[in-house]
Amino acid sequence: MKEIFIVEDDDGIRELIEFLLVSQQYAVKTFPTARAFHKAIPGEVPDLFLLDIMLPDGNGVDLCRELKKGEKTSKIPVVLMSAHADISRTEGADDFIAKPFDVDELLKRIQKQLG
Amino acid sequence: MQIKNKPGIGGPGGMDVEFRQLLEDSAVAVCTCDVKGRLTYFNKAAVELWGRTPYLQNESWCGSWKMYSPDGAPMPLEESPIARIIKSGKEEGKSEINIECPDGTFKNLLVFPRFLFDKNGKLQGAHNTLVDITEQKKDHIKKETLSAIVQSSDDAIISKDLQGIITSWNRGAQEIFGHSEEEVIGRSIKLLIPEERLSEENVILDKIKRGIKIEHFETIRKHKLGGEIPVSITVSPVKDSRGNIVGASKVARDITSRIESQAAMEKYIQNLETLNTVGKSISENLDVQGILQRVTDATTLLTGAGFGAFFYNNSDEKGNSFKLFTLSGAPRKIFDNMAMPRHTDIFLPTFRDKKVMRVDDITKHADFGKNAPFKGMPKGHFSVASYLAIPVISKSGSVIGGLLYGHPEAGKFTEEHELLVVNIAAQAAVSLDNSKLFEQVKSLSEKKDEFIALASHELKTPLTTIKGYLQVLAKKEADKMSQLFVDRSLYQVEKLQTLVEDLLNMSRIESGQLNFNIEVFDIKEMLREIIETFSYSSQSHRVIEDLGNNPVIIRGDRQRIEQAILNLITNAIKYSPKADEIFINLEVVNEKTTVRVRDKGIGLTGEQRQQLFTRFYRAEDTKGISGLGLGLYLTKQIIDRHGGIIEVSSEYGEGSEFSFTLPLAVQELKKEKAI
Repeated sequence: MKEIFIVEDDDGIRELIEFLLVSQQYAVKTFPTARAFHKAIPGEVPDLFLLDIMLPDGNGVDLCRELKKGEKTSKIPVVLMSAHADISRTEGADDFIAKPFDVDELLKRIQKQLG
Repeated sequence: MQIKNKPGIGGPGGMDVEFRQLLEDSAVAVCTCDVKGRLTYFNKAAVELWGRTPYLQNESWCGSWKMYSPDGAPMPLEESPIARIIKSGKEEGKSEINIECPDGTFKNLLVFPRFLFDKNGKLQGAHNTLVDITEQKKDHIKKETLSAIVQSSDDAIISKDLQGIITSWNRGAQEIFGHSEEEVIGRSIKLLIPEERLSEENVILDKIKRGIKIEHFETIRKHKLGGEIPVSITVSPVKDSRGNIVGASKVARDITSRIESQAAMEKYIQNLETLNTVGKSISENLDVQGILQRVTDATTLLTGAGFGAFFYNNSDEKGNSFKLFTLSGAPRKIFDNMAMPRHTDIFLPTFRDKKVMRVDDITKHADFGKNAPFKGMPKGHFSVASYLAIPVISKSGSVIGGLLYGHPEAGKFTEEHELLVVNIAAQAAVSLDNSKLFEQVKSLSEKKDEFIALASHELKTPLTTIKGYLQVLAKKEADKMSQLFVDRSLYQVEKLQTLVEDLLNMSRIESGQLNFNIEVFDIKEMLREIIETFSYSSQSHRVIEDLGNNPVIIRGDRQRIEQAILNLITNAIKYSPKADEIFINLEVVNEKTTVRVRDKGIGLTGEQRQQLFTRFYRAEDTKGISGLGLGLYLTKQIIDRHGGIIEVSSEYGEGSEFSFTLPLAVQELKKEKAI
């Protein structure tokens, strides 16, 4: 079972994505803040990161950069999401999804990253 | 003793009767005296000269009533020239004396006293010949005076003969033309005339020969060193005693200063014009820095100040101070290391009391250096004597700041300068007031853009969740009604999403932050896809297309162009509720492609067509048709920024056609053809 780490501060969206991914048979861990994510990351490593860009205590682009530099995480795909329309590039991530997204589109993109 | 006071009586003894007669009738005044000075003879001419008949033997030396030396000092009889030679035993030659007659007239005399000897050579006394030189003397004085007048005149006074040869030359001429008298006497007057004006001299001489005077003729003459001198000349004919014209006198006045004052007048007019232009430009300008720099520059120039500056009336934590805002005529770095001026006594009248201060020498002003450290201007300060300070007063009555001017020399600023700057300051104040308003509006507008960006983000977040769950629901097996409701909800969410997106795009365009991801793509392919998707979803309208057969390659932001096309199609459907088809055309002409979207809808009036592309514009008869009035505004912005043109043609009640034209990506097109 593939595991996905989600960093998303909005409860509604976090729960929606968790529900969608779990129903697609993924193992999911969610983090509402960059801090919570940092606490978990030195330990286990997932198969994909799904990161919101605007976080209350940081942002997904920076997290992505860290992950891509990390020894254990550099090869793991990162997908960014944002409702902030100014950001439409992948910013060093493997893919970018604009909010509001299409549910099927989201799942399709994630499947694509996981091969 | 017999007293005789008749002329011709007495006289030296032994004189021939004929000779005596000769003396008696002579026009030259003659008298004699003996060795003791007693008057022994005088003739009629002497009586006439003296204006009196002296008493022979009873009067001494001379028959004059009163005598004076040439310097005007009274001369006693015993010091008269004749007395002097008798007393000294030495002849002196001629002397000049002045006498006063009993009737009060003064006369200038030349006297020739000589010894008188008898037959045996014994000294008998002296004879005196008196010549009246009053008239000559007067003439001489007159000439001297005239000469002095000519010499001291500031005007050039020159005489010349009829050939134009200079015969006299005064000091004024030397000053004006530079030549000395020696250099020019005997030379032609043409020496002074610039080559291109030589013909003037012929005209002048011709008139002079005919006895015509030339008055106040303004022309140009040459200085010895080559410079041109504007002069006003008056030339008069000079006649000899018989009335023949023998030459001309010429008075030339240097009118440089008059011309300069004319120039000053013109400058004044020019100043007024500058004032006008500055006024205009500051009223058109809304940026504070721009207004103040222009005002400072123009007024510094107008006043001829060494430097001019505008200081804001600024309050800071240290108390009151002024902030240098704009500077003209001096490098700004002069003030870099200097503390800003404070509310010292010298500045208070301007910044607090709203008074204009114009001082010829500020360093001598009573308030100068009155505040600690009592040194006047700080070290390194631009040297200032002449000082002009003018408050710039806001409509509310507060002093916005002050325009300050300085000049190292004293007395440089005039009332006229003051007036000029006061005028400009008033205009500047109005502009600054406007500008403040503008800045406020601008910052409000920036805040609004910020707000929209933030709001749209916040709106999108719950939209994401709602849309996600609705999509999940839509996939579930459900009864027909639930299915319908979920679909309708999804449709509304999509609309909501578009609206939020439009709002955000608008605020991005307003703040110039709309970014494009430019790529090269086939717009025909894009249109085909759009129409295909559309045909699925729209039940009301059919699309009739004519896209041609060839790919149409353009360069642009795929997403934005798609958005523009979708906007036009959505509008075409929205505003043709009673029609059932829309038309989409694509054509290529002259390396440009045009997309046309036509409907058979309600159409547009001329006025509506004009305002169509302004944001938040919605035609009056669109009530009941939803929208924010942003779609066409955004579409036009997108097309504009792709270097394209958007157009509309419409007939009210018949329908509309919107079209946009974009340049083809020619190179890519060629490559494509080559492949």
